[in-house]
Amino acid sequence: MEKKRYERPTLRKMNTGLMNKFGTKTENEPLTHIESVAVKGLLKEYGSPLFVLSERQIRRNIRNASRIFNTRYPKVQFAWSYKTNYMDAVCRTFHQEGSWAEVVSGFEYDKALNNGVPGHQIIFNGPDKTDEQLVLAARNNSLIHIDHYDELYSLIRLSNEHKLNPKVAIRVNMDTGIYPKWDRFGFNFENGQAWNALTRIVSSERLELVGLHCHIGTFMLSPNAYATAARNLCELAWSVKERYGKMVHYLDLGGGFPSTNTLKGAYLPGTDTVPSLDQFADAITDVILGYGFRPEELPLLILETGRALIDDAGYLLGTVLATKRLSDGRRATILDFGINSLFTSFWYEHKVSPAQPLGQQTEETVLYGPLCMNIDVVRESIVMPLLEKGNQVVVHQVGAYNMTQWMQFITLRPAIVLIDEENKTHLIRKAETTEYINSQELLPTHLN
Amino acid sequence: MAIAVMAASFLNIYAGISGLIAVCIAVGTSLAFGFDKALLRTGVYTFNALITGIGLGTFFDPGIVFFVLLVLISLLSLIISVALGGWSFRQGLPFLSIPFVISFWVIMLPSSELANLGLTQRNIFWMNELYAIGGNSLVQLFQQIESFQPGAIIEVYLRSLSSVFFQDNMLAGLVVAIGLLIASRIFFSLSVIGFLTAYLFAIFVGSEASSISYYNIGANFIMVAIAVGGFFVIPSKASYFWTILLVPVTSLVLLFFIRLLNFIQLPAFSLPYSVVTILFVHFLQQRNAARSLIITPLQQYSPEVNLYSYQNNKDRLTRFLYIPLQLPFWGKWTITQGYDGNFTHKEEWGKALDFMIQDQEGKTFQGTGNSPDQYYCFGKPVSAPADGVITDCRDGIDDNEAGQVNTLQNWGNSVVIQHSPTVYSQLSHLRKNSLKVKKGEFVKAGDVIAQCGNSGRSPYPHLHFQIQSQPHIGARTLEYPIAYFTEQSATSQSTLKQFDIPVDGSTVSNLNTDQLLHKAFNILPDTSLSFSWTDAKGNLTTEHWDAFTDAYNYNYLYSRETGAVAYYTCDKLMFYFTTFYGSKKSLLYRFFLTAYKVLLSDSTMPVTDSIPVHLVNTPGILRAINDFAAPFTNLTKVNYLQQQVQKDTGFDTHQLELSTQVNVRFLKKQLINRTQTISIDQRGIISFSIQTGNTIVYAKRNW
Repeated sequence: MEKKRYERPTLRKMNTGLMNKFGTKTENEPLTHIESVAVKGLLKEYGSPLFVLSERQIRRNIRNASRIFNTRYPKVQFAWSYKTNYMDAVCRTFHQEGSWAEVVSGFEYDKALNNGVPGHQIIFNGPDKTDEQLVLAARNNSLIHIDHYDELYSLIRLSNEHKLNPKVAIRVNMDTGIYPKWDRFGFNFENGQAWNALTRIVSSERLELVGLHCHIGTFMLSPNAYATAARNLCELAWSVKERYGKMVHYLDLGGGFPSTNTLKGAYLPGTDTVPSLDQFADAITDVILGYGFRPEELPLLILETGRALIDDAGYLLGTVLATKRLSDGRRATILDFGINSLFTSFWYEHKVSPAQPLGQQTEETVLYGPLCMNIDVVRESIVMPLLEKGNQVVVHQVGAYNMTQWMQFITLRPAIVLIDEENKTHLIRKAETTEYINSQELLPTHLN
Repeated sequence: MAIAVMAASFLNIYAGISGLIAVCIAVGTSLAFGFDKALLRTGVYTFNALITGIGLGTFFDPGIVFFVLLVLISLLSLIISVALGGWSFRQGLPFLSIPFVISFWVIMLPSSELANLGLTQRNIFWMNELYAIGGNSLVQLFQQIESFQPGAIIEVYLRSLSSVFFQDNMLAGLVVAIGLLIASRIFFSLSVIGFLTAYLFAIFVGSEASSISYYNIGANFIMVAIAVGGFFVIPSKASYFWTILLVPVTSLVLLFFIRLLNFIQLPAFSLPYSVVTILFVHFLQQRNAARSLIITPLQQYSPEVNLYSYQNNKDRLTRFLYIPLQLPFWGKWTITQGYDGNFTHKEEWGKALDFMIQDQEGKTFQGTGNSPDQYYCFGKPVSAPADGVITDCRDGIDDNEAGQVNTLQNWGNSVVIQHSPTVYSQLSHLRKNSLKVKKGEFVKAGDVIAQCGNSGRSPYPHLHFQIQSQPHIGARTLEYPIAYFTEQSATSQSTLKQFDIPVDGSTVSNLNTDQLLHKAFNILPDTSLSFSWTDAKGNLTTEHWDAFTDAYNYNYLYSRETGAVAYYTCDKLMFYFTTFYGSKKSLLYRFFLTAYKVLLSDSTMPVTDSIPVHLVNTPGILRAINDFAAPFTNLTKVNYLQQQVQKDTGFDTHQLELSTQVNVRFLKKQLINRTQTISIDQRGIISFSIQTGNTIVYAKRNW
């Protein structure tokens, strides 16, 4: 017989209220294995904390998304949003599944090229493109999505100087009934700016208008907004066709599909409230199919979905450093990762599971990170089993943005491990070391 | 062959001359009467006059009476030919040499009455004749061959062959045999087999073996063998087998006619051959479907060409029989019940397909699967498989809960589309109130007509798709292929399927047309292409190809400079050359091999095909060996492979390169390996090149 586990004593405030027939037990099942690989073993081998990605889940996500759109619309192309997660291993998995690359900086552009993406399959977005990068992208036949007039004029100038025929689209912003309105990117639809820009492009001798792009927001919870966006893009495409006799080749609806993470302040968990990808697909394809284009001139539908394809493939594993009681009597648990690694804890109420079976008793606790900073809070309040120093925890759905927005602040950034489809583990990014950080530093001689 | 025949007949100079006169009379008359020139060119109306002329010249002495009679009999034979043809061609039957037999009888029987027409004695004085034609040397050659003792069988064989032209000597037989061999290896082997069978049968039944060489009687067997074994029927194992059966039959028929006609003192000539051949061809015509002994569909007057074209057409061109259908949906769907399936595709309704969408784990739904909308396929667009008119549709039937069936309204919400007078497609179990079409409406291929649902006898959402020959819902199904699609089974990679029926359990999807490729290869009639190239001698040559449509609505390219012709066809997804006639030195021939078949899709999947042996250049001796074996097995394999290699952008192609290969193998040895490329831009095909070994031909389009 297994030795009975010691469980530390806990004090809980009695809350009056209606009787609950389910008692105080909270379903927070321990997650001991990720894709059949033991969490304990992973932490032992690669150290704590540790990001873990599941290749199987990544592939499952992109295949599902492809299926969802391809069975509704004849021409669909996904472009992997590099900023969401630009680990080469992740990008290459997406490219293997047929995704193009969507990049927003010269750095990401280079990364895409290094990942073997042909130039014409790279979409170059964002407000920051240098002259050199624009010329390189034009030479590579990449799809340049123009963000503002200054960029448009630069591109016209550069294409004349270098005798280039860049393939361009404009980013369009619009009111889709969503707050906040993302009108800082691209050209506005309602006030006619977008049409002016299009006219300027079509009348320029060298620029070739190939598509229209919009990106109406992030973590969008309303499929209707996409229907509006698709309708506005169709209207622009139709106008271009009517006025200039040229059908654009693609409509890029951008990204913004949500994952099932729970946003801070949401009353219900994300799994219950977030619309399915099917609903977004219905909203977009119904509009384009019903707009009146002839079957052979239907534009290619490009999607830059990031978060929805990677979030649930990522886990962050960590260890409890200490537990303590706060002055108001609340329990506090200090973990070995904080907002420096788990950047998304600013937005999400991340689901955190224990990584080993613990007792039935639970208590409400604050999850703090290890930083000596007051803001370093992973969860302000979460019901967990009675955690102790040395216990291990798993944070769910951390695949998107964390591995790109994490900070080297106070501590070093942890390693990333990929579990492949045969459940073999691969280190895809080494944990940072002091030498690595110091290697970038230079000392003036008088301080040496 | 023609030269050999002429040489053989001119061994008897008067026979040759009178044959020539007879033909001239027949051709001149037919031209004057304005008979179909294409038909005349094949010689069907005039060859009987030729044999009659040769026959007359062989049996009768020349003179003024003879020539008048020759004119009359030639006309008679032409009249009988045309009249018989008018009746028999409509049945698809030949009349063979019946006009000759009749017209010859007409002169034979009353010839004793015609005092001024003398039977010739010349046949007795052979040597004089020969000397007159070829002098001493020919006489010596003749004597050498006659004195040659090749064995009884060969001697009788050669004499039999010579009797085709009313002669009885080995030289003429040898000339004919060599001519046969040069013209066609299959004819030659059939002539030997036909003769041997007759010879052995004669010995077996105890009739006099040598009699088969008497006059043109022995020729009957050889001609039956050639006609049945390789001319009217595509040469095959079965045709050779039937040759061996029919020759003894002919021998009985022959004896019968000889005895019968003896009463009225008429020779049988080639009547037994004609009767047996015509009867057998008509016998074969009565079959509903032919699995073997295929009647030659398009007579090209060479058994080899007939055979190779037939093999090619059988494998490649079945598409002409079908309307190109696409799958009625977008994306990848899995066939959950195929033809003659386990559940509902039974008997009259057996040739139907059920489709569902599966995820990578093979599940067809998410969640519990208790409600139809959890199924991936539910609500997905259903599109028209081809252009057509809606002839029947039904909407308003509720979608069942998962697991429930509605057997009262078996087909559920359905649409029937008419694609041709006899081809209809039916799509069933559609979602309630999702139909976007009405009866009588015209739809184009790929138009969305409804959504996949769960109405009628459908326990789980799926799309039922069937082809039928009737316009109403639930008609009897027809077996009908899908034109082009990719198919992936659990165990195999995704492959390109053409005019095939999707297999149960496989996952299939449509191919998209690449507009640039389609524009380049959809060569419209009354347009021209012009290419320049530098030939082996360093001369810059230009060829112009004009695109035409013939009377049967087939498109072809005609090379102005060389007269070569290449037939082609092009649909939404595939360009094919179907056949080629003319000089293999022309640039058009090179283009024919280069673009033999091109997939006009954005898919980079390889397309494979095989080219008929007679349309590639192979060394003569190997070709001859292949011809001998061709009815039984193919020793030479000509494989063709096409693949897209380069594309400048994913969605908007400006430039594209295709690579193709022609690989000729004889047994296991590689004879020819050509690599070819075609470059295309927005204007169309801009150049192509062919590399064989170290030589490269590069042809550039002139705009």
